[in-house]
Amino acid sequence: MKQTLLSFLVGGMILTSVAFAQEKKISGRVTSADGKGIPGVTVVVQGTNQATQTDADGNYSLNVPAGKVVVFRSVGFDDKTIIVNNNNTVFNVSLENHSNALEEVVVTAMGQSRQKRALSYATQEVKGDKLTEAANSNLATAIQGKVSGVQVTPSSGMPGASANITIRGARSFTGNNSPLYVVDGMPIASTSDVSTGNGVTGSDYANKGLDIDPNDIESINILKGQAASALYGMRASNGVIIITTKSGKGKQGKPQISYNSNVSFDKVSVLPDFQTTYAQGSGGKYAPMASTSWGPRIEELANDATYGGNKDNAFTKQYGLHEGQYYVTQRANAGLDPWATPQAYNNAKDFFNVGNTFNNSLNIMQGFEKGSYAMSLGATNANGIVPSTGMDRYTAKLSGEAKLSDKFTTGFTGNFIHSKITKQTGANNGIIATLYGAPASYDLGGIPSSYLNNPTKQNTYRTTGGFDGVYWAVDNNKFSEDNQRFFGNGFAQYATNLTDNQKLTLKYQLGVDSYTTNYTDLWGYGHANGRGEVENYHYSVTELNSLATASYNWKINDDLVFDAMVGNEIVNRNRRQDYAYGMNFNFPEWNNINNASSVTASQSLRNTRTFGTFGSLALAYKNMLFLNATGRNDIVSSMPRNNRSFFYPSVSAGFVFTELDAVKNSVLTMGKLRASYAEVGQAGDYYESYYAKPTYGGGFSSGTPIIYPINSDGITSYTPYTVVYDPNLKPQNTQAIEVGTDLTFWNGLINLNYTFSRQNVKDQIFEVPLAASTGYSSLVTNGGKIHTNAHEVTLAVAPYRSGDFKWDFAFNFTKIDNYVDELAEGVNSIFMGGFVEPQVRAGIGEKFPVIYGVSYLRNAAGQIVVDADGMPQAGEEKVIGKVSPDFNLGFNTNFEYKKIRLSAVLDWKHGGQMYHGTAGILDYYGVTQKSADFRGGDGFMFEVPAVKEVSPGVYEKNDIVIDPSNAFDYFNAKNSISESSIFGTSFVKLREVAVGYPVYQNSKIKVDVNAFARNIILWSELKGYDPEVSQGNTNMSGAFERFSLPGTSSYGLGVNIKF
Amino acid sequence: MGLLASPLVFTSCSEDAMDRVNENVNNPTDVQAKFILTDVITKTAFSNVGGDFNTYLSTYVEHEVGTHNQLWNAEHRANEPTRASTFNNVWGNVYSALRDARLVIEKCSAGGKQEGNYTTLGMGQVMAAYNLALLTDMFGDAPYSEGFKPLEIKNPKLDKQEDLYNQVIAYLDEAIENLPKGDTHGSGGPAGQDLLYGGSGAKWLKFAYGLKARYAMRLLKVTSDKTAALNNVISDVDKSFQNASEQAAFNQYGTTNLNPLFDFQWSRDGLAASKSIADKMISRNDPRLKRNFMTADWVQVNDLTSSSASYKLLAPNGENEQVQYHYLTSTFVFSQTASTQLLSYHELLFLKAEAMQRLGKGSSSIEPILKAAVTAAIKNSENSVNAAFVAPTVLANGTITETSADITDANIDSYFENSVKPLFASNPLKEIANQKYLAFFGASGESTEMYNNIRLWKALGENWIDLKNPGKFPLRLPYGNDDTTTNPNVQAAYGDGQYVYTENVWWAGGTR
Repeated sequence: MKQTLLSFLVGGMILTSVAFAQEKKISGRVTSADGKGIPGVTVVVQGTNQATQTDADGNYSLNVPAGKVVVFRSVGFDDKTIIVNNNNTVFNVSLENHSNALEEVVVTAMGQSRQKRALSYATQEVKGDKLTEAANSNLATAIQGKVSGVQVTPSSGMPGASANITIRGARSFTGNNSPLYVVDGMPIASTSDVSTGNGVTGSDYANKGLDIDPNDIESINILKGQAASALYGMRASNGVIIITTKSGKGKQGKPQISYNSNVSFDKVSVLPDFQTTYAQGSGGKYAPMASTSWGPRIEELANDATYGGNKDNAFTKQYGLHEGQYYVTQRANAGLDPWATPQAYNNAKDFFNVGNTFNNSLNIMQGFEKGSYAMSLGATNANGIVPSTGMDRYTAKLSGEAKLSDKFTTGFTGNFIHSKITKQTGANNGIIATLYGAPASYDLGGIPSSYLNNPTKQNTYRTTGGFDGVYWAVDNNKFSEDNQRFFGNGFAQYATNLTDNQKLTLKYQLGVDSYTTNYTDLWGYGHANGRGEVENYHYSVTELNSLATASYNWKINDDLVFDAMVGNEIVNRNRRQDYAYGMNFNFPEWNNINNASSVTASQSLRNTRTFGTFGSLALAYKNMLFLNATGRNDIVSSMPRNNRSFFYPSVSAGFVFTELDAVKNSVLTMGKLRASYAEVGQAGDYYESYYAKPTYGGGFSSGTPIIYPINSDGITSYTPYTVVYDPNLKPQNTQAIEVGTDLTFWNGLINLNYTFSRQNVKDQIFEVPLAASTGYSSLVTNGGKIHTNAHEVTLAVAPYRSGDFKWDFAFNFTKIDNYVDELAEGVNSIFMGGFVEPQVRAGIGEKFPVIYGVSYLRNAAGQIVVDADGMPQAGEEKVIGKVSPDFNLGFNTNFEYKKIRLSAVLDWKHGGQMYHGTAGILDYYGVTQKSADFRGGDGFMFEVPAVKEVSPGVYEKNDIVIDPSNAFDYFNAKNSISESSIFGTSFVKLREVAVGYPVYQNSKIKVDVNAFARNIILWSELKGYDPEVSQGNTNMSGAFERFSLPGTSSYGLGVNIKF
Repeated sequence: MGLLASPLVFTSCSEDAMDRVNENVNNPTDVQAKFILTDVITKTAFSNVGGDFNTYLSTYVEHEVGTHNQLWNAEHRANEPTRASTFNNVWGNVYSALRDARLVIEKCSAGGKQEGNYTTLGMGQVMAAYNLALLTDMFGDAPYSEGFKPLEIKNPKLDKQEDLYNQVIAYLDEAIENLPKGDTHGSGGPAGQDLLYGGSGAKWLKFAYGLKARYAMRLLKVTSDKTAALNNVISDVDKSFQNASEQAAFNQYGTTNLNPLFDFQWSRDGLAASKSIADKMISRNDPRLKRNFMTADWVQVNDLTSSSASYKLLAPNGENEQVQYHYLTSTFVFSQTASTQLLSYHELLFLKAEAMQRLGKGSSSIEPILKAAVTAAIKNSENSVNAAFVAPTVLANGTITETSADITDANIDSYFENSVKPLFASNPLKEIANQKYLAFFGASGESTEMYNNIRLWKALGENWIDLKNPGKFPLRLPYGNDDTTTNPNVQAAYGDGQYVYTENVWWAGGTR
């Protein structure tokens, strides 16, 4: 960013001061700080196409008109500019290493550029090339492991899968904890319109942040704390991700054209360890429709009394003996030869495809004397590992800027995105249930998933009232999101020098973020043994953003600089949802709402407006002491009357103590202390309490058992909505204190940043659960208090920075502890999702969130007590798992040897637990190797340390060996105790590894090839599953899993061509 | 810049402007009572009478056997009977129905927006009484008087069951006064919004009398003047339904709207045929025996005897394997369109027969009542059985085979003569109880009321129904966890939930 600003300034000087000059030849040598010549440095006359490169020794020569500016540019160094005067022809130039990060300029709130040195709060920048190193097409997961203080919770490895980003933990139990995305100065929507809510069924919904193509990103800057983001007001209480897309600014010369193309192949990252010994059935007996695999040994199927081909039974009477075979009802249903030879199948492994993702992007950028432009086109085409899933995303961006005069500048940026995501269900009623649960003896892939001549009648190993057969589901159920979006803005800016040392800049920007997303959730004819259902709905959202700012800069004297800004922001958002639901298709094989025998429709409109007025003051003293203060007042529509206007202040200070003469030294070359205090609010989503059409479903129902209008007379009903709104609702308030230090040793050999922050969130707005005896389910009110302590450390080390070998590495350490201090009177916990039991909750005195459910029976000493048979017993319902990790540690490294680049990102999550329903229930189904080992061995003991009661109140260590014949009873006992499905989720992942090599390079073209891999689980506490896969795109994500779609590991190749 | 912003400042952020932006155009903030009444009826029928109470209680009273997951656990008296989560959904549904019935009452009472709609008011009172009785029958002492004020009282205290029943009776007495007075407010009566009776106050009046009879019998053990109470049962029954067409049956099920028992089984496959009830029918040579059971392959079983092969596929109560699609099921689990009975004609006849018997009336006067009851019960059962064979969702998925003929009046006559009468003669109350027990087996949602009856009879020292499950018989249902987790009053009453096995409700001789 520094080069951008510099060339801008210098460019401006030339415009005003230089008239015409003669051309002359200049030459010289470009060296690094240690005096060595730097080869390949681009030397360009600013604003022209005249350019050259330095030779192997760093020498150059170039014809330049006198008075022109020449820019020296090379990777790893800061740009340097010289003005060619009439006196000299030799210009020897020394380039500074780029690593002196504190001199960099970063974009902060409201587009203000600040020297990093002047910041008095924590921010962290990630360059675009670091985001795209391993070709991740999803911005949310591309930042995993690369920043501290940020937690990313993906949901699965499916294309377009949602991922939750939180910065410094959560401030809201059930509301939005996602940071604000600001793209090129314009806030845009980043969360999904469709929440998976607290439910545990259906498909996932993508986040809107997915619309940003990482390939078009120049850099992102993460404003972590409230002091950093306070100017954005209410929407920024969760932090801000400022995204700067590629632009032509400061890229004078010939157009820079780059083309990136890569392909990656995805495979399921890990599968559970399935058994291949025992057949479908229960109690050791084969049962062709059993959901469990507690049948006989597979090879014994031929001897089954009812179905065995070796035995005299109804089937052999009819068809004759079939030695070594057995009668398979489902084969008969599908019209195949019903007799099969028993064998074991790899049903899960065979089901998944190798997924693939193609990313293609083209960027063109060019700067001129009086402006610049950039154009980007991107395409991502992915097919998921689950058949029928995929994503196609096309993005286009055009931006430009023109200097109309020395005072007026105008510019625009526009982004268009078209995307389509196809999905499958990954939750309790999802396809994994009938995939992982499939008996090894059943030929899931080989036996058609429907009856002969009746493609909508499901044919699988078990009943399909609650779960569709997996192959049938991917053929008949469709879940899709179609998205068209435009966002962008135009601005006009007037900048003038009031005096020599005072500058005033006025800017007005008008932006729009507008999208329409069409969703279809379709369950085909035959779903749940019914006639299918379809939901079609679309969201049209238009958000208009008007932003006016006036900034004033006064260099009071050499030591004091004063900056002030005032502004006004109006955000007007209109959201419309049209929804149509159709059920019971008249006839099969036309799964369309026009074929539904019953259709209902509804509409939902929601308008919101925020009127923000803000200002900031900054005082800098001697490049050493920096003081900032901001204030913002928001008036929001979505709060009760007379409770809509709120003011939030922030103050911060930075002190670069190494500027003090007494401290200056060569080891600690830069040291800064910083502290800040800020308050930011979050508004509620308030309505006057209202009536709504009652809805039915959930509980034991697999569909919608009652729907209004209820009969042909069109009779419908309206009853009070179960949520009531507190007319005295106040905004929730976050007070944040942040202290930190930034230390640079040996001129950037080591950079260390540490930040501690504490957030106190009071008057939290959420739906406080009400006792059902109040007649309502919840009350939207101010009902909670939480606090968060966060420690963030980034340590960057660059031990080798020059010569053939370059190596640097960095650690990003995050420790976030969210505690629930207080909940509204009478509320002990907040439900965030799950079943009736177990649930994800927030509870007083607990870290947030926790899992609540049926625990193991324990004695007064807290020891788990087994029964007389050695089986675990169910105890009370209580907190059985804690979700939040102890810490996250990301590790990045880059090696460069000659032209070869190698980079890697490792991610270590330590601590934290999850309710993993799949891992629990597969033992119960009898499909896991463990379930086979336990029933086949010499007996086993309850796996958790426990005691037995030898006489009332007297306990001894559990030594009761459970007979293998009781293995099912054992897993059944565990299955009714949710605590048995709590698993640790610590892991170490090789998040990204990439190697690149420039295969061809000349002055016109540069071709890089690279290979990469992503998400390789190196170690995981949770065996057989990806520990990052979980249910939901809400605050319960990461806490609850049951039949979620799996995670993926990716491997790929790419090419990058620069012209 | 200021010029640009200033017009916006004045127009875009005043309280009025913001109110307009925040207006909820999608939903009304108030509706007329009759539009609320509709769902009071639907929710009561589908969720409260026919829903989870009845599904679980059908296994407690052995009308059905739980054979998968939660229902298997309940059958085997694992955690489900004591767990606060088990009945939480229906706990909430009963309170929703009560809230809405109270709104109907409030809006049609003096000072309400539809003041003068007396008949609608009476309907609201009947439904409030109905749900309140259901609530306290299942849970005993429960929050009521402090309920329904979410902004003022978040932790309503529990009211004693005795007080709740006083309120039930008061609601019914007021309803009996109000129902005949008509709907005089300009908004008019409910007409089609009344899904039970199409707005007929006269029929609702009969419903109210019928409920008075039901609850008078319910309180028999705790009533001091039992003779008066029993005479009231008889006189209230006489003022109630005169035939099955007048009974309080919810008839809105079809292709889209599902009978709740069907909805449960089609979604979960959790119920199997009860061996103990089949044994009772076999011993009586009951004609329903050939009608009420199906194989796992959807073929009606018409040869059930203690020696037939199909007999082995009856699920042994409390001792069945956890397996689906193995045991027989009842035919009723396919009865997609069968009505839910809020109060059936046959129930009233059984109440009358029981009251007469307890008053020592002669068997010649009771017999015709009992016969009418058995006849009405069998016809109701036949309606449900026949619904199973035309269930649209079932037929869309395969073939369901009926293998026996409909039960004729002659069949019923001979059954009554040869089987019921002798048993009635030897132990009249026992046979009345057992016939009522068989009558409540079906798709009408009457297992809940049988659970109440069995508990009352046990409390009176009369073990009329021979239950075979070796597990403990739960005496009540545990409170819902929406309250046990948020309302300390209910949490304290719930404790660890084990009280469901030890403490009777007040009307069955307990204290709470």
